[in-house]
Amino acid sequence: MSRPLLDIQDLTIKLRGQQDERCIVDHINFSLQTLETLALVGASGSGKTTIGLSILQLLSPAMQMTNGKIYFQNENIVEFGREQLVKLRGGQIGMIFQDPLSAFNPLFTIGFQIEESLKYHTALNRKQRQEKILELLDIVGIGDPKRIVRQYPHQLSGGMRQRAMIAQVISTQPKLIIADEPTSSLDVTLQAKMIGLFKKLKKEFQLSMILIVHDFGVVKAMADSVVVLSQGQMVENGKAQDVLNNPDHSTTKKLIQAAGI
Amino acid sequence: MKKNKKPLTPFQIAMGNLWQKPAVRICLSVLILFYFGALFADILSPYRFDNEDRNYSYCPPMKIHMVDEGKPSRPFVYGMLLTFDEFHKRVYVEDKSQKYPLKLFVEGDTYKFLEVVKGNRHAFGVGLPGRLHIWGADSRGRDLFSRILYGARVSLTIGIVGVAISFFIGLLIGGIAGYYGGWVDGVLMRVCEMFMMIPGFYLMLALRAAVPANLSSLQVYFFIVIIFSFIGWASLARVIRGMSLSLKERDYVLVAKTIGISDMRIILTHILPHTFSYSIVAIMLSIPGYILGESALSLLGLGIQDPFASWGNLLSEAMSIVQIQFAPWILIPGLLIFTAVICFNILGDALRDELDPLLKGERPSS
Repeated sequence: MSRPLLDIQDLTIKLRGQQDERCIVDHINFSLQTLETLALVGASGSGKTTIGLSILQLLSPAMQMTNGKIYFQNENIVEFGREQLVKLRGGQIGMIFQDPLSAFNPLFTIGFQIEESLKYHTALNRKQRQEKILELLDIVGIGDPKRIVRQYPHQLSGGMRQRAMIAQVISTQPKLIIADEPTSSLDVTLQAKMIGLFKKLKKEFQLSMILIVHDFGVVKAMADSVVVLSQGQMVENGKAQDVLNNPDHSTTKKLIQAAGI
Repeated sequence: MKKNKKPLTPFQIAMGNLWQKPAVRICLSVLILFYFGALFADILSPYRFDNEDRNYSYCPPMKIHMVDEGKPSRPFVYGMLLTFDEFHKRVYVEDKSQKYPLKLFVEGDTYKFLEVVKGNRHAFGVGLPGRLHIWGADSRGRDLFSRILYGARVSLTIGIVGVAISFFIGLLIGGIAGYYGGWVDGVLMRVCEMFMMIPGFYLMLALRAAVPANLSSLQVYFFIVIIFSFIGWASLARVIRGMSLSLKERDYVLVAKTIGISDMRIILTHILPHTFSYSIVAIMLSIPGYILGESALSLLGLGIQDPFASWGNLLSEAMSIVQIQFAPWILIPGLLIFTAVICFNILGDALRDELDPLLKGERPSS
């Protein structure tokens, strides 16, 4: 039987060097079907981002995955060697971060930084890469891409930077995108635009998506299924509609209430 | 400001501010003059560095005359006659019967400019059999001015080449140690400390002793540079390691990792460039150390060997008080070392004032 695109089994992450039973991520199971959007929801500190990073095997050295399997396209990522991981990161799975200002290196132009990922994951030559970058920036809705490629991150507005970040991630046509609070640092009107952009990109690039959020408003707008976390434990897992309509756990209820839906 | 003008980068702004300071302008001009002299030493010097005339041993700086028997004339020098006074002290007197007019682009010793273009024209000089020593001559009657120009090639480049190599090593080692952390960091830093533990000058002497003595001057130069870089990298590596340790926690480094960029490239593009505002200053401030180090080695006879010139080995003639008393002009190389070192230090300090972000807030706005 073939597995879903991403299948996480019994994922457990602890702080390195601590013998007690407290886990940052506690025996989590969930899976993601191709072209689906899964929302990881929870208050801050509930382990959402940690799960996201563990899928890329980029946990900080202070944390340790003590148990679990992460199957991506039927292969267990946990057993991957260095070279396989490099191909996976960026090439197969891309990650979008919350704060696009700190996610760009302030010393280099936007164009240079998008080109970096193209260099690593495609066989395009310099000229083709330049064309591709302009094309990508156009797709994510940046007007005047020719000017933007030559600008530095601090010269762009927050929304522009977020779009540029998305362009960087989709440049290599990954199968899965992990978006860590992609809309939290934006104002409400931009959030709506960004959600629209994600939906458009999902169709255009055949993306599956893990959405790390705390806002059920975004969940309602985008997610197919929801995993709710509380203090490292999975308290709810189900179709977005079901969870929204019949929340089981108090954490879910609180989060839904906070979003005012 | 004009529209459409490209906005200045912070670095360009800093450079603009620097240029406003008179001290910076002076020091930079002096250094440019020095390096210009070193580059065109072949042409600017009246003689080759090994052209000697024993009749002019310790000849004092010659007077350039503009007036000939009460009438203005083109500049000329008299020949010098060696005589002894009642204390058997050497005294040079001008021989009014020999008059040598100063000429531009005079024919003289043949040289290969920068080892490529052959030539025998010198920017200024006097025709044979006259000799021109505007800054005096040394014990063998070699022209000090010419030797200083040739010596500048060694003394002024050794700092830059040495700094370039040691910074390359220091940045790389520091970057790697900080980025990887763990045992890599531990091993590299212990090696650094080993180098820093040994007093620099003794390490220098020990390393010099390890190198065979009968080498050509080019080889000696090469070895000295390596020895200096060997000593210099450690302290820089430690600082860079600290910076890299904090820089690797930045989000864009994590982003670079999620893109799958290799560790080495992350270190080179996403970590080390952020240390440049520190390292540019450190480079400026450490060049004088190399110039002084070369002088010290040459002074002890372990550096560049006679007849080749460096400011250090020119100064080594001035080791005894008697020679300084009778021929004070042989101290000129020392004065030039002093000037160059001061200039580099002032430039370095000014650069730090501009580039160091920690100092920025505290400075009163000017």
